Amino acid sequence: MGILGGGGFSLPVITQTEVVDVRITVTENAINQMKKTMQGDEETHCLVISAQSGGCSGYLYDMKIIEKPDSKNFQIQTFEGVEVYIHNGDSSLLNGLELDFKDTLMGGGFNITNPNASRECGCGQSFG
Amino acid sequence: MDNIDYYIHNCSISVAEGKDCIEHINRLITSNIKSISDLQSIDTLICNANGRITDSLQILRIQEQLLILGNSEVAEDTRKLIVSGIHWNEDVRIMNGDGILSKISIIGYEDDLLEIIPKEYNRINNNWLNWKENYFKASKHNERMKIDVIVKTNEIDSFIMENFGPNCNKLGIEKWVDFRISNGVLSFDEYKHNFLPSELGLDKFVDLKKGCYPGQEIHARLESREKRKKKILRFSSDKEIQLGKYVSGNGTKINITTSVGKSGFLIINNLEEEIKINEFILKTDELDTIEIS
Repeated sequence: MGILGGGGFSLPVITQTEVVDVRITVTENAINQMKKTMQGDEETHCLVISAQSGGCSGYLYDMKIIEKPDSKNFQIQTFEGVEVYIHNGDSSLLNGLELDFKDTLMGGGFNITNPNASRECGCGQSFG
Repeated sequence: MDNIDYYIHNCSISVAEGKDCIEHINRLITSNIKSISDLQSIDTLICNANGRITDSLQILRIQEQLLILGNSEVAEDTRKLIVSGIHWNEDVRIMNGDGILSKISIIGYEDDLLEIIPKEYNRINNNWLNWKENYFKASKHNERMKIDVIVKTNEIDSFIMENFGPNCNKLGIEKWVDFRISNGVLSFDEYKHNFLPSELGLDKFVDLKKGCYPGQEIHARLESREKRKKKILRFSSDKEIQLGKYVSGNGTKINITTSVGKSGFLIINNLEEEIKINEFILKTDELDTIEIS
């Protein structure tokens, strides 16, 4: 048995404590596109916007349409019947963001403007 | 046995566990640890978005856990970065081992140390090994050998006494730095001055093929332009010289980052074999091997 697995030996787990009330805005274009993508599954599915470490600037955005997870650790906002989930752990990074959708051949797709970002990567997926 | 010394590193230790911990840590660092095997360690860097080094890490895999050794001066920032970037759907837990676990280095002659360390040492390739409840890794440095050991902090004294006896001396910071300078072992003293990895010759700790990590855009741009402005060198002088920034006789900017006695490390814009700064004459040589500590 090694140093980390010895009987009675445990280390304190570090948890992220900063949780803020999240308010985001979603443009009409983005709402329409979310509905189009969900294809009528708004009752059972939601959009989760989250952040994870990595990317050129420190954090990466992640957006997924999934079956609604246990809402315990999420903050939920509803836009014309579409629920957007943001995890408490991401609340301080994502509070205040604006989600837009651009229907163009180049540079199109969902676009996030984040007031908490001091810099963003050229591809728009990473912020810091 | 009278020539064995030990040094207690002033490092910060975190432990990451959970099935996604390798993936999570890999996104933050300059090296690729996706294939790290049990008891393998990888030296790596954390950089900011400008590509500048903010911490150096030694990551050791122990079964399904990662032991992450960083620098205590920036421990809080590094740990905050690691914890804040965990994806909501990932299985990752970060634990704080500061004050509970320690890294010590034992320095002595190879013949003396080989009599003490577990016999399996000769069969390993750069991997760590179990030493009772602790882990160790040995490396040769000229005619000396250095053994790094991860040990519970409250058991350091008994570990030293039990294995090396009462004559094993605890090294002060000056003697340790002297060992580092002689053997080209860089530490936070050198790279805390806002350097890019390439400026310190740390390119081997940067993997530009692994995908995005903080600072990757800058590192890739420098690589493609082959632009290396600065260099770290070891120096020896005829007199003791204080840390700080200097300008040499021919106008080259020099930063003395480490100095003990009449030797140390310096960062210089151009390669000069002999540097004159006022009354000081510094002879420099390039580091043949660079290890980060």
